[in-house]
Amino acid sequence: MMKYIAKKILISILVILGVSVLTFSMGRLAPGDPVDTVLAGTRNPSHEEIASARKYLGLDEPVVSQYFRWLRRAARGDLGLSYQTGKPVSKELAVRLPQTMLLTFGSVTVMLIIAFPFGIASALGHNRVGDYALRLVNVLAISIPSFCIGILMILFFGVRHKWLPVMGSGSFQHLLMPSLSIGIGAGAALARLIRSQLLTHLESEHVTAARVFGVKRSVILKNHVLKNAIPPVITNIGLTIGTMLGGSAIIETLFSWPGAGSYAVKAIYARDYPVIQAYALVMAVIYIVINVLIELSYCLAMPSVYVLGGGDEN
Amino acid sequence: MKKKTALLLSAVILFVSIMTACSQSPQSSPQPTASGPKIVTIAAGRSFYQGPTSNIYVHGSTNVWQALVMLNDKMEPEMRLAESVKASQDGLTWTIKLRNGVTFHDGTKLTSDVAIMNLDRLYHWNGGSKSYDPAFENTGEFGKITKMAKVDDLSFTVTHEKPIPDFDLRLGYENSAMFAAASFDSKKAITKPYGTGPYKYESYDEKTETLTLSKFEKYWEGEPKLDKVIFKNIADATTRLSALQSGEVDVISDVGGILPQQAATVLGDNKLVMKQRLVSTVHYYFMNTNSGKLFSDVSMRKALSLCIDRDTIVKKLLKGYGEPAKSVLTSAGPTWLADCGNVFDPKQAKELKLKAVGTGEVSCTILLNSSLLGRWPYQDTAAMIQAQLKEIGVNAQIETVDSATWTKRLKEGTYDIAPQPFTVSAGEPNYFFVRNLRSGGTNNSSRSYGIKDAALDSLIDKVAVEPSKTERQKYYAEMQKLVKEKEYVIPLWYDVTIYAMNKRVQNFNLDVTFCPDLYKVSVG
Repeated sequence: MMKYIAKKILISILVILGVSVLTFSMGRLAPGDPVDTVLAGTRNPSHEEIASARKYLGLDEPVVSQYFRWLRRAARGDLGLSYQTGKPVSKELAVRLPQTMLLTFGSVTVMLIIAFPFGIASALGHNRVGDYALRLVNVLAISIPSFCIGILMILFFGVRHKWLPVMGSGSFQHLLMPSLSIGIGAGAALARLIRSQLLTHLESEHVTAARVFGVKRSVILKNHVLKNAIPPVITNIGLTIGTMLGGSAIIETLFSWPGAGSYAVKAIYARDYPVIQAYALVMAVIYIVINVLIELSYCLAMPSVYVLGGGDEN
Repeated sequence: MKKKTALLLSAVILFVSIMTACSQSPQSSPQPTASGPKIVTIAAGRSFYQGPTSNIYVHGSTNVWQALVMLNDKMEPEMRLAESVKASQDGLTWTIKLRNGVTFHDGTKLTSDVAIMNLDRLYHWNGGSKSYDPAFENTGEFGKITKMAKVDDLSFTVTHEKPIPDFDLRLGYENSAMFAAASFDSKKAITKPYGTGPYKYESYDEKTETLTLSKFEKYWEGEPKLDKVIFKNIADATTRLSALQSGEVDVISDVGGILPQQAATVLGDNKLVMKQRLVSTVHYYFMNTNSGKLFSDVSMRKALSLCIDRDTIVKKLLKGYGEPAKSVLTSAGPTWLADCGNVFDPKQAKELKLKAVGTGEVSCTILLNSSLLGRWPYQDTAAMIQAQLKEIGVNAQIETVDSATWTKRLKEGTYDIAPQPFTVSAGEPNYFFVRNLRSGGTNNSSRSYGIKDAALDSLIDKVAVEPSKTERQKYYAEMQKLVKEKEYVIPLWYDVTIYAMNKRVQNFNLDVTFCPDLYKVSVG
C-alpha cells in the first residue's frame, strides 16, 4: 500500500515539475521583452535602468539558472511580482483563490444535486417517458454554454425579478447564479455518466442473479449497482473540479466575481507573465493534488482492486 | 447513515458560512434608504484607480483632485482652482492667481508654494518607475519652462524660454492636478491622494476593483450632497447594464460605458434616464505609412478613406450615437474645426487603387485591440470596411489581439491599419498634432505611423508659438487640409458618449472630457 502511495506521489511530483518547466518556458518564449513591460511607464529609460530591470527580473543569468532560481522561489511561495501592480503575485492570488474555491464548491454542489437524482432516475426509468425527458433536458443543459445560462439568469433573476444580485460577491445570494451557471452543464454531463454506469451494472449477471433470489430492489441498487458504478463517477467529479477551478474565468468575468480566474484574464490581456505563470502553476498543482487524493481514496476504500490489481470485487 | 448525512450537511453549511463570511467585501452594494446615508454607485468599463505609478493616482472622473484649469463645453479654458491665468505682453511669463480658501483633504491650504511644487512635479514627471526626474522636461505639455516664482501666497509666475500662447489650455485637466504636499513620497509619487475635490479618497479594493470616496465637508464650493460615492469596474458590458437595471449600481458613466446597441434597452426601461454627450474623443484609422507598406502610397490612403461610409457607420453601427468625422479635429472644439469634406466614393477608390497598385489583389492587416471591442463597435466597423475594400481589390485581414500584443505590433510596425480612439484633453488642437503627426512625435514614432512631412512639422512648430488666436485658426485650418490631402490619418467618427442613471440620481452630467461634476449630484 505504502509503495503504491509513494509511487503515485512521485509521479505527481514529476508532473508538477513538468508543468513548472512549461509555465516557466511560457514566460521566456513569449514575444516581447519583459523589461519593456516593467519600464512601460518610463518615457526615456537609460541603459542603467534597463540593465537594472534586467537584473531585477533575473534575465542576466543563463536560462537553466533562471529556471532553478524561479523554482526555488516558487517552492517557498515567492511567485514573483506582478508587472502591472508591482505587488507579490502569491499575495494577490492568496486573496483571490478562496473566492474561486468557493465558486467551485458552489458549482460542485449544484452539479451533485443535479447529477445523482437525474442520473439514477433516468437509469431506473430506462427507455420510459421520464428517461427520454431527462435525457432531452440533459442534452439541452450540456449544449448551452455556461455564460449563456449565466446571461439568461442575470436577465431573469436579476434584472426582471431582482431576486438575486447580478454581480459581485459577499453573500450566499451572490454565489447562487455563478454556481448554477457552471454547475448545471457539469451536472447534466455527470448525470449522463451516472446513467450509463448504472445501466451497465443493472444489466450485469450478478444483479440478475440477485433479482432471481428475491433481493430487495433498494438493496440491489445500493450494494450491487451503486457501489460498482461509483468509482468512475468519482474520477469524473475530480477531473471536473479541476476543470471548474481553472475554467471559471468567463463566469467570474461575467458576474464580476473577484476570483483568481478573472484576475488571470486581466493578466493575460496585460501580458503580466508572473501572474499567468503563477496561475497556471497553482491550478495545475491543485488539479494534481485533487486527483492524487481521489486515487488515494480508492486505494483506501478498495485496496484489492486498486493496489493489488484484483478484478471485480463482486 | 443518517448521522453521516447530517454531519456532511453540517460541514457543507459550515464551509459556505465561513467562506462567505471571509469574502465579505464592499462589492455588495450598500442599498440606500430614505433615512440612511446618501450613496451613489457608479459603474464604468474600466477602473478609475491608477495607483502610485500614475501622476494623478485616480482618474479625473472621481473628482478627488481638481485642476487649476478645466475645459468648458467649447473646449475653452475654464478657471477651476485658478482664479485667473494671464500672459505678459511679451507672452513669456504667465501669472496664475489661485482661488482663495481652497482646502486639501488633509486640512492644508492651497497656496502658491504647493501649486508650484505640483506644476514642477508634473513638468518633470517621467512615468511610473521613475516618477520625478529632474533631467526630464515635459516640454510637449508645458513648453520649456525656465522659472517658476512665487509672487504672494495666492499668486505665482511661470516663465518660458519662448512664448507659449496656449499655456492656459495646456494647463487644462490632468496637467494642473493639485495635491497636498503630504500626498507624495520621496520620489514625488502619490501615496495618499489628498486633493481638493468634493469627495475624498477612502479606499480601493483591488480584488473587487471598487473605489470608495467619502464626502469632504470642507469643500470650497460648500458641503457636497452625497455621503459616499463608489466607483466599480464592471468589465462586461451586459453585466454593467444588468447591474444598472437591477439597481445594484446607480449610474453607468464614462466613454464607452453603454454600447450604442444597448441604448434601446435603456430607453425602454422607465426606471432609467439616458443622456448623451459629444465628447472630445475621435475614432481614427491610423496607418503604417512607412516605405514598403501598402499605405505608404497616398493614393492607397485616399482609396481607403473613400471606402469608408461614415454616415452608415454612424446610422447603423452606432445607432446615431456619433457624428461622421469632418476632419482629424473634434467637433467638440468648434473654434478650430475645418470641414475637410470626407466622402464615400468606392468608384473613385477603385480608380485610385488601380493607379497605385494595378489590377492585382493586394492584402493588408486591420489590427484590432481586444480591450477596446467591449466599448466601441470596432469589430463591425472593420468588417464593413473589409467588405468595401474587397470590392476595390484589397484583401483586408482583421486580426484581433490583446492590448500588450497590439502595442508591440504597432511598435514593430507589423500592421497596416490600427483603429483607435484619441481624446484631446487639452483645448488646443496641437495636443493632437504634436503627438500623432509631427516627425518624432510620441505616438508617431512608438506606433510606426511613419509620418514625416516637413511642411506639416513647420506648421506645428509655428502654431505652437503664435500668440494670435486668429492666426492660429488659420494655421490649424491649413494643417487639417494638409492632413486630409495626404490622408496621413483617417478620422471615422466623433464620439457621442451614452450614459445612464436611475431616476433617483439627479444632476449627473458629463463634460466634454467625460467627467461628471459630482458636487452637483444628489439623490432623490
